[in-house]
Amino acid sequence: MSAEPGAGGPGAGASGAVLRASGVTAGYGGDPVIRDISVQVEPGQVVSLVGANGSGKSTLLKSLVGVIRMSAGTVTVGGRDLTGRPPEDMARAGVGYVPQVDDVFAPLTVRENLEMGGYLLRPGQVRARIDEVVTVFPRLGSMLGRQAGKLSGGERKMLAMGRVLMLSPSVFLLDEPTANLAPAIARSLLQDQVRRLATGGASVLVVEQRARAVLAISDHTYVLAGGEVRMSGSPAELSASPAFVESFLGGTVTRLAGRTPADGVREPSARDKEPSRHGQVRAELANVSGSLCTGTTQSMWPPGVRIVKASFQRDTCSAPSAVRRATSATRSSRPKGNGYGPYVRNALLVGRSVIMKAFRGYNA
Amino acid sequence: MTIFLASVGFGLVTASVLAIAAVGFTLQFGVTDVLNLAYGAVMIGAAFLAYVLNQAGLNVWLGLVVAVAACSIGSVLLNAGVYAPFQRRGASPITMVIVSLGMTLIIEFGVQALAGGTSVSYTMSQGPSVTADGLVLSAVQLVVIGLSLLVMAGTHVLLRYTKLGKAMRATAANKTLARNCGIRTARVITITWAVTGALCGLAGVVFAMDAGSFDATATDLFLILILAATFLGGPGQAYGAMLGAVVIGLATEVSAAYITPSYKYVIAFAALLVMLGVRPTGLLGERA
Amino acid sequence: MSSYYLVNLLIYAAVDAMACLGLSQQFGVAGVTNFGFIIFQAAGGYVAAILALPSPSANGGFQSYIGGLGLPFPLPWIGAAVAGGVIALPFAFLVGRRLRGDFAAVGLLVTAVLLNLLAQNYRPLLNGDAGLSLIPAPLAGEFDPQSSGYQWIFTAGAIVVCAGVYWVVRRITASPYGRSLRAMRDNDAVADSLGKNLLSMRTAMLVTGGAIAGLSGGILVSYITTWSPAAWGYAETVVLFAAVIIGGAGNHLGAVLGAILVPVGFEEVTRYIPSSNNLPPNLIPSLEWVAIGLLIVIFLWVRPQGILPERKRVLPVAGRLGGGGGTDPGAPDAVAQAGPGAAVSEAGASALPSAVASAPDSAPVSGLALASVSVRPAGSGQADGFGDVVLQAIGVTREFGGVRAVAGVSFAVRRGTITGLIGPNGAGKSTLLAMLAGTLPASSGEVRYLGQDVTGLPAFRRARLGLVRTFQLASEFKRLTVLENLLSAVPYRPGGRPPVPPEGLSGGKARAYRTGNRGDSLRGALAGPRYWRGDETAAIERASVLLEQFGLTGHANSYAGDLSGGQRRLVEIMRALMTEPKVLLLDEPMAGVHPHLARRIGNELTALAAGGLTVLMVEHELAIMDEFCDPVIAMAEGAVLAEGTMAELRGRTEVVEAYLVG
Repeated sequence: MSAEPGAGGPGAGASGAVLRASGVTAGYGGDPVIRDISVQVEPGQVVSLVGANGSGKSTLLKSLVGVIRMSAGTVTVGGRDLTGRPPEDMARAGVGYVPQVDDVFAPLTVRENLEMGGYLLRPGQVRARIDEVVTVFPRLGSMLGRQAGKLSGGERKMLAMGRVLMLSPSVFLLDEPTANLAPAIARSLLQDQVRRLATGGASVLVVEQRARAVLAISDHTYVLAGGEVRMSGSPAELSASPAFVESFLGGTVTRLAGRTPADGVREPSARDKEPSRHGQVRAELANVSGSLCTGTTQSMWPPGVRIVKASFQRDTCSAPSAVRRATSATRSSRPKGNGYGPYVRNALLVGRSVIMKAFRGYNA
Repeated sequence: MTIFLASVGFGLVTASVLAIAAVGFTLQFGVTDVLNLAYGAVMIGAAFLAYVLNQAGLNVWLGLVVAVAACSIGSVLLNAGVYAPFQRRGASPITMVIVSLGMTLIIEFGVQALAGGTSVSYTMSQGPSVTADGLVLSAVQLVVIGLSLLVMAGTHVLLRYTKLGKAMRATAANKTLARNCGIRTARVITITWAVTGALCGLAGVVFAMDAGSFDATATDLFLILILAATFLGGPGQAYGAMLGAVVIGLATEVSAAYITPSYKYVIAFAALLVMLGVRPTGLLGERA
Repeated sequence: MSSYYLVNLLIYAAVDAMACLGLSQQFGVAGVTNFGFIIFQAAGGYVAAILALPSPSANGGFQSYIGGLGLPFPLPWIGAAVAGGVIALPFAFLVGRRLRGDFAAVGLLVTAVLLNLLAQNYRPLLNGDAGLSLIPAPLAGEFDPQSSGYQWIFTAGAIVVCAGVYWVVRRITASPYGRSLRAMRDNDAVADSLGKNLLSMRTAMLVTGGAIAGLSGGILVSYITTWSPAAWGYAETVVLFAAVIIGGAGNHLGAVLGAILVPVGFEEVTRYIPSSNNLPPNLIPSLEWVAIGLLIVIFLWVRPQGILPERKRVLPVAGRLGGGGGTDPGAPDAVAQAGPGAAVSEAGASALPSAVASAPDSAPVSGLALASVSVRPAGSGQADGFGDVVLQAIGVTREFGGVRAVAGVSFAVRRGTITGLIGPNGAGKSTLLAMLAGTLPASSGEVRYLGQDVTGLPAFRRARLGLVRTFQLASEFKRLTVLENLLSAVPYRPGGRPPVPPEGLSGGKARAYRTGNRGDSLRGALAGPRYWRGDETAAIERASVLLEQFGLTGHANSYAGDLSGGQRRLVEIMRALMTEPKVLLLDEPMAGVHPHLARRIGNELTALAAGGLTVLMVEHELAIMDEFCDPVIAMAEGAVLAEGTMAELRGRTEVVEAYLVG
């Protein structure tokens, strides 16, 4: 895990960042909602911002695209300083923003929405670009004449992303793309569509409430809490960290570590009093560690990720073929981008089991 | 039957004038979010400008062109000088209405101060009449109907097929999102004021032609017809305004033929109040 | 200056000042924007004319109207006021609807224009365009209306009536009811949630303003002896608005000043413009209108609050509770002598103890109970049934355009608990809260409160029963002081029956226990300060206790809109407590509050809960849930996932899943 929050993604070449924000402080009048936040997105990366309600994720995105004004901090896109520019300039600079709600022009047809997405293209290019976008999101092709306001939630979000794709932006900013979607649709949206945006060298900065699902597709993740970056790191690192879960549900680490509750805290329930749950998990994990995926373990994880203590639960990592796929994918995709994607998928399986164990309290 | 046909003729002309005015008004509201009650005052300003030019010896149709251009510029200035600053300050809709009422007084009575309180009329030929079974329309009236059809077609083409028109609809639907698409909405809004100002000027002059004689307060009641047509079709809905204009135009004139003509506006009044009370989004409330 | 001219000016001033006072009461105080205001004046004018005129044939039959009644003097004026009030009633329909402000304004403006059009064109009713004339002046039979003495007496009469109107609107605005009106103006949804009946208040203000306008029309008509549609064009309403905006909306002196500056001042100033034959005939009147338009726009830009802005109402914060009795020694006597209301209060008082004894549910939690919670024996709350269910949701569902934000939620909240409600964004927590409070109707399902089905009750009725909510977004009444914010929540108590204070309280404490305010109704307001001052003093004492507890005493007389975000949250919580709730629904009360302060709020709530208050609280700061809430209900995707202590919930797979996977 990075020593200080916001130190950047793994392998961060200082000059290579598509989007770099540093020291961003912003709010809606009154007290700032986010304070001194720094994030950066490397080419081809999917970077996620996760955190509890009200941690300032959406506010950060809005300030990055100029929808709200930041009171301090800088934003550079592809090396150009675009601090304080209005949204239309950000769009011109190659930043594609999909807001959480009101993400399409409801009275306009799907085709018109895409045309508006391609507003900055030369008139001759628009039609061809729509065809290209439709190849990325084939379902849009069959509904070009429909009114955007009448689409289903998933279709609508796809249109919103397709609209942004029209300008082939260098970085996509997605604000909770899965909000109000059914879980199955949400998962496929993240795994298929969002990940697809990042193919071809574009980067994605995605804000998500569904932390675990988005970790599965991320190369790097920032965890926000109380308007600040609480921690950041690769999904694998984060998944393995109890502190990560704590940032969502609060108070857990205290309990896990068996510390006595602070003054004034209600008497914990009997289950809470079990000593050092966390330690016990670790002990258990050590037993199963690597037992399933022996031989592949080392190559599965990028250097620097301390995943040795993780376990592979049989049911979640059952298919050795999945591991094989992952490793082969690793090889083939290595030269491009940072090559972390495949690791991440595995890290997530591990992370999931760690978290589940930690929370179940050994009922399972 | 003759009465009916004759009133339909009147109704068509009224509907034509009304359609031009209402489309401009509703677009203005939809894109800029200003319920500009000074619209009627600007119309009469255009009518008087054409009158002054007409008095100076210019053909009234040339005067019309000048008035349209002047109204277009004037509306842009009205927004830039008055409405936009208030909007930037976050004025509530009700404050905007009070401001627009203030502007109504300034423009309408400014015109009256300059032009005097008397009724005037253009020097123009009505041209040959076309008669068809009781339906009598003068050449000028036919031209007005033609102009209106042209405006409707033009609006349709603008909104459906041009980049600007789509950007206007996009801005009306979601201004922030439009900006995120790279659309300079401030510019789109300025152009909208120019376009709707031109429609307002055109409506003012053809209204004056249709009315025959007019004074500075002549559009006070006509504004209510515009509001009725706009709310009937749903505020901000261009096609709704066209439909509303036809319904209101025909309803007022045909009813005037059968009950006292003085009450013809009551129909519009009732329509407007019912729409406000029952369905403020209008008949075509959901589409743009 | 001839005396005739001066009389003319004074009468116009009185009439316009009255109209402006009526409009200021509606627009400036109650936030009801009525662009049809001139109709009320017109109605008053016509009714006064009809009542005063002889029947048509007796009048020579040269004008046609529905028929005169030839009634003697005070009746036409009274009739005018009544007519103005009655004709305002249907307007409550337009104003009461939740229309965009500008749409409602258009509706009212158009109504004014078209009623004018109808009056112009329908001759049999009111003689159409020509209008009514030769209207007899008051007491024309007994005195000579042309005599100077008569003119001066008429003037004096008009001024006295105007002063009376001023007195009435002052009395309304200065009362607790006036405070509720201003609260409604600042934020009507919140006022609704605090138990204020918006429709009733708006209707009352329309009728009051209408009656005042009608009376002014009646006086005007008896002076100018003629009345026609030309006298009440829609633009006259704009003039009155201009006067109120320039003078200062919400300040009654400002309204009078505006009336003198705008309609009267214009009349006066234009008199000095030399008339020349070279000028076009309509130039001066036209320029007057232009100037009025300019004044409106310029004032709204430069000084939107007007020349005399609304006065800040500074109230003395009551001293220490024990010595609270000293702040207004006369108050208890005033209440006891307050006439018929007091008699009712005696009866009510005797009926109450038994009610309390038989129905422990209704035992109110008072501000004082709050003050003394720490010393109160813990058993007292438990004795009357701690485990009771006070609030219950049964299959409550809410759909927004086919999407189920809340899908068949059922749960129960027990008395004296602080129940937490958690869940990821979009879980439906706030929607659920809104349905429980009645601010949002449920699509289906049932809400039961104290064993009663309240699903169909509007928010203000639920609030009056003690089911009160706060809001997630800032919801303070910005242009009320902090103290006024708190006082605005004190419920109206019809008949003014003071509940019997709990045992062991005496003196100032006992008085402070009295809840409710008789002044929070139009009748109470008109009855005057003597009628409600006792209640007000008690309310201020209660509020002072709360202010001290939450550390905001120093800000008691600051505008709530000027406080910091955290302080505003405190104001909202204190305000909710002032309603004497039995169940408090809090929507993220600690959001944006400093952790230290959040703890303090939590401790206060815990103390209150020990005293019998029930709290249901949505909060995303889960540490707070740990510390203060038991049980905690976890929601996700519109459904309840689990219920238990926070620690238990952390152990539940589905809850963890909901938070991490969404």
